[in-house]
Amino acid sequence: MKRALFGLVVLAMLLGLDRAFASLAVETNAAGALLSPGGAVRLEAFAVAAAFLLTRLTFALSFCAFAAVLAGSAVRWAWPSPTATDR
Amino acid sequence: MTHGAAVRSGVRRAVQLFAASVTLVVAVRSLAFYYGYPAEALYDGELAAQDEYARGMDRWIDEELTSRDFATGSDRFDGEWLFATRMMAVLGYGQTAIEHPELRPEHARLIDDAIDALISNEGRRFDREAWGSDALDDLGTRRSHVAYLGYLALALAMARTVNPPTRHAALEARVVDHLARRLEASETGLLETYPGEVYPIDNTSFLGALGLHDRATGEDHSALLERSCAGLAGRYRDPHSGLLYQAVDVDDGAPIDVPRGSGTALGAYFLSFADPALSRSLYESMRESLLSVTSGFGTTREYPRGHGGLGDIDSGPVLFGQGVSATGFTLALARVHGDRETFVATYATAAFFGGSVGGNYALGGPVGDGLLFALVTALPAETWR
Repeated sequence: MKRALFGLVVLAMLLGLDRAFASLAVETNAAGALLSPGGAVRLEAFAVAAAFLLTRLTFALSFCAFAAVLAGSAVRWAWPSPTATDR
Repeated sequence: MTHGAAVRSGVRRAVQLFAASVTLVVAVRSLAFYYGYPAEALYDGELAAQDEYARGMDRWIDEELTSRDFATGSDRFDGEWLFATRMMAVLGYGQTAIEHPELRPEHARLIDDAIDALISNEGRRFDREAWGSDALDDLGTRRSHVAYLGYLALALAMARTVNPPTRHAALEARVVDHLARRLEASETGLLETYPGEVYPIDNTSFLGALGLHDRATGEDHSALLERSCAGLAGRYRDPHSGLLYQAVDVDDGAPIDVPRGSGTALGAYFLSFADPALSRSLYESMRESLLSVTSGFGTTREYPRGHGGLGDIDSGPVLFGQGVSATGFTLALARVHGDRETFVATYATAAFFGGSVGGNYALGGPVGDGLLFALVTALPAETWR
């Protein structure tokens, strides 16, 4: 239960960061940094764009992993280990 | 451990793994549902959803953008992107004004403002530097300037469709007349984008403009349109994939690049204004060889199977064969041709990787916002029949 709550808090924080970086990217017009084929890219624009993308991908992967682990744990909880029962 | 206990333990593990796997699939689909959810309202043409994009675009129209706001690494491409931002904004404002007449007065004003910037000295610079002469000065000459005039014609024709007495009506008539004469005289049925460079996609922008122009003015260019569209379908589509070649030879029209998703998708969108049947046929070809939906996320390949490449300024980045531009352009075609499922799935991908924030995109910038505004508000083909 504690681990599930911790996971939820981490997900909420990642979602908040994702929103913050997305808004910052819009405000600072960071888009060209990742879409441009080359040339004069501002370092701070690249950092904001990369941070947004990294946060979003981390959120998505964490969300999926969290859901899968939670489902596995639920089965474990609902169906206790037979070795434990035998003993 | 007894044999029975060992079996139960194995089954328990298998059930655990199965539950985790099913949940993983459901979680990915939930993400696709979450990011694709706003697409339903956009597909249905709801005013609030479309207005959010229009108001997001206002920022780039009101701001004094210059080509220095882009960073492609090429002065020409920077100029093209600045031009594309405003040109696609005009299409977006026009389409939403047609779908929601209450937006017409405000959007007609924004369209005229955007066109003022398109025809400004800065707006014409990228084309002037490529041709060595100015496009507007060359109206009536043998120089076609389709990179600039083809797309400008489409923006002007949209302005005239939305607001017939627009202050740009006379310029629209001159540009359309110039390009129509050049097209009549062309042996390949196509016009030059830049000296020595011919791209079917750029020509489709003028064919779309011609369709809108005839609707707005009552003039009749149907014979030229029919001939040009038949030529496009007969000579410039790859016989295997049905996609448009990206570039052809200036002298004989022979393909010098492979068929591509980005050019075909944007071309099919522009053609929906003039020849919805050809537009649908191109979209069907794309559906067969380029489109895919994986766990609720829709993507479009840049190259059909058997061809490949890393992408360029037209395609944007190509990741695992999927093109950023081609995927975005698919949004317009899905709405134009009544394909809700593809629209929602493709929107989920665009929203996830683009990072939609209100009417703007974190990774869109001015040109991305302009493109997506036009693409998600593209009008169903029936509008133009």
